[in-house]
Parts: sequence; C-alpha cells; structure tokens
Amino acid sequence: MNIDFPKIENKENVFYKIGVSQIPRILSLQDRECESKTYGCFDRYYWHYKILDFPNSRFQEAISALTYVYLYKSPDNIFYESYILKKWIEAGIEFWCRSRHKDGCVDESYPNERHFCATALSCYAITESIILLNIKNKWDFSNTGDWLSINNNRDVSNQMAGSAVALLNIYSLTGNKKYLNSAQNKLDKLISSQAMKGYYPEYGGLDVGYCSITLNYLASYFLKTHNNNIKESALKCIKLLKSLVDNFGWFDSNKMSRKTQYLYPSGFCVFDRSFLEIIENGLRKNVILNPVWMDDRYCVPFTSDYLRTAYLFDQQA
Amino acid sequence: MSPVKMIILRIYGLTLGRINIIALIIKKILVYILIKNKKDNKYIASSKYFDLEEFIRMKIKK
Repeated sequence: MNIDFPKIENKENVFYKIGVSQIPRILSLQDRECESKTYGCFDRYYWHYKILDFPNSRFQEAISALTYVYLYKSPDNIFYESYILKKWIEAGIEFWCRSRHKDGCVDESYPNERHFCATALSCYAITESIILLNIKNKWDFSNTGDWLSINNNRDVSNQMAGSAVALLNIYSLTGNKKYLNSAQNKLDKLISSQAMKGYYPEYGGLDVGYCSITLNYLASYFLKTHNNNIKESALKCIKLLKSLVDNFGWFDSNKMSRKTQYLYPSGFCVFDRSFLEIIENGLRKNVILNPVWMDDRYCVPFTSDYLRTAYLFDQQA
Repeated sequence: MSPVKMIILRIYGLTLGRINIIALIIKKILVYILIKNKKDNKYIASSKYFDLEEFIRMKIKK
C-alpha cells in the first residue's frame, strides 16, 4: 500500500521535489517584515503567536533549506538565485547572531539553557550558508567558536560531529587556527568513540537515524578536507546500516537507542550512492518518514538535508 | 512575550484565573483591546503566511 502524494516521475530528483514542497511552509514560519524587531526569526510561536517567551534557536537552521533551494538550478525552481530570498536568508543569519548569549551559545527549550546541540547545529547551518552564498561576513563568530571548543557532549555523536564541522566553518570565516585544531580534536574524539560494529554511539547505543545525521556532518567535513579517515569510518558505519534497513529504507525504530524513524540522506550521497537509492525507493512509494510527514520543529532540519542532497547530487553529476 | 510576562501570566492563571467570572472578564477586556478596538495591525493568528503571488511580484520588482 502506498499514498500517492507527492507524485514524482522516475527521473525527477525526489529529494528536491519533496524539499522544495516544504519551502512555502518554512517561509511561513519566518518573520519577513523588515521593520519588525523579530525580522528574520523562524520561531513563529515566539514572534507571531507570542505563546513562547524566547525563540528556539534551532528554527534558524531553516536558513540551510533556503540556501540550498537558492542554489539549486532547475527550470521550475522559482527560488533559484532570488534576490528576496537572499535578503530573508541574511535576516535569518542576523537574527541568530543577535539571539546569542554573550559567550556565543544559544537556547533551544528554555531561557539560559546554553544548549550544546542547538549551538553546534545552528552555528553549522548559519556558517555554512555564509560560505556557500559567499556573503560578506560582518558577524563575529569567535565567541561561539570559543564556547564550542571548550564544551562537548561525548554521549551524543551527532552533536559532536555537528560541532566539529561548525568549528571548521568558523576557522574558514575567521582564519584563526585554534578553531581548526578544536575541530580536528572533536573529530578525533568522535572517530575514536565509534563502536567495533561500526555505529556512532548515541547514549551508549545504536541509533540508525542519528547515525545518518552524524554521517551528514561527516560528509560535510570530508568534502572540505578530503580526510580519508572520515571516509573509512563512514563506510564502516554504512555497512552496518545496510544490514538493518529494508529495500525501502525502513528499519525497526523500537530497537534503536533513541527510537528514531528517519534517515537523513545527504551523507549517503557523498559516501555511498547505493544506499541513497534505497531511500529513493521508499520515498517514491511514500512509505518512509520524510519532511512532509513531520511537525515544524523537525521538518526544518530534515528539509534542509533533503535539499542539501539534491544540491550535492547536482554538483556531483 | 518575555520571561517576566510569562511568569505573571502563569501566576495569574494558577490563582485569579481559576475563578471563571474573573477569567471571562479579563478575556473580554483583552479581546476588545487586542482585536476589536484595534484599527491597524489587528492580531490574527492564522496570518502572515508565505504568499506565492506576492513573492513573484517582489521578484519582478527587483
């Protein structure tokens, strides 16, 4: 049984089609009024409904989705190189930078949380967009870089991977080698923590969904540095994941340490295209979790990854 | 909304707000101030979504 939405012809890039279908929704989350004090904020529950007393910084990861749709060249992509879209992206970057605490970190669930995951992953999204769009960097990332350098969450591999590539980006933007050293240090800690079976531990156990997120960040790091240790490590993980998913990308989430049900595809786009085809099979049948099925909070990063996959696919074609 | 306002709102909700008549009066006052009596910029929850026509118009203007 399958649900016939969205209808995707065989040759179309399924990740682009699904990702771009979420862009109007993501843009609806953003305050796009330039006179507004919260211009650029993607947390609609904060700036519009006012039922929250602080913005969830992770919503600013929507910048990533907008960046990849801005860059993706396709005859039917109305967002390709749109001047207005770029303005909204810059507004989102500005809002994130202003929302930070003085020490450079951000909050996700409550005021003064100073969350490692939110800081690492949102910082990566912001800095990656600045680099990809070649925006002149007028923001200071050194405080965020310093904060990420001294903080860790070794129990959660995907956050360590995200922080490593965020630090690498901060090095690109600042030229300060201490961030490159911090990035390498975090990467080394991550790879050394990889289990013998191949998975990157999430609170001590195997989780396919979070492994795919870790692979996404490792892929980004690999593309910037061509460090073969990363590729070897990633392929070991992918070999394990292949044994756990079926031909449509489904796996038993109840057996996972964090009960995830999703697969982030961009890492497979870089390391193993055959795995990507497995996910595509599931998406064409509409039988696996994808951004269309998700709530606002998790639709944002998942859509970003789908559009990143489409972009990478196009670049490597 | 700020953390201080949120705390005040919660304290109200857990105390005076539990009394139906007070809650009803406060609500009517707020609806009048924020929605009915406002000429410009009325709060409408289901608004400010992305508009494709407007986006295409903005693209053409540029």
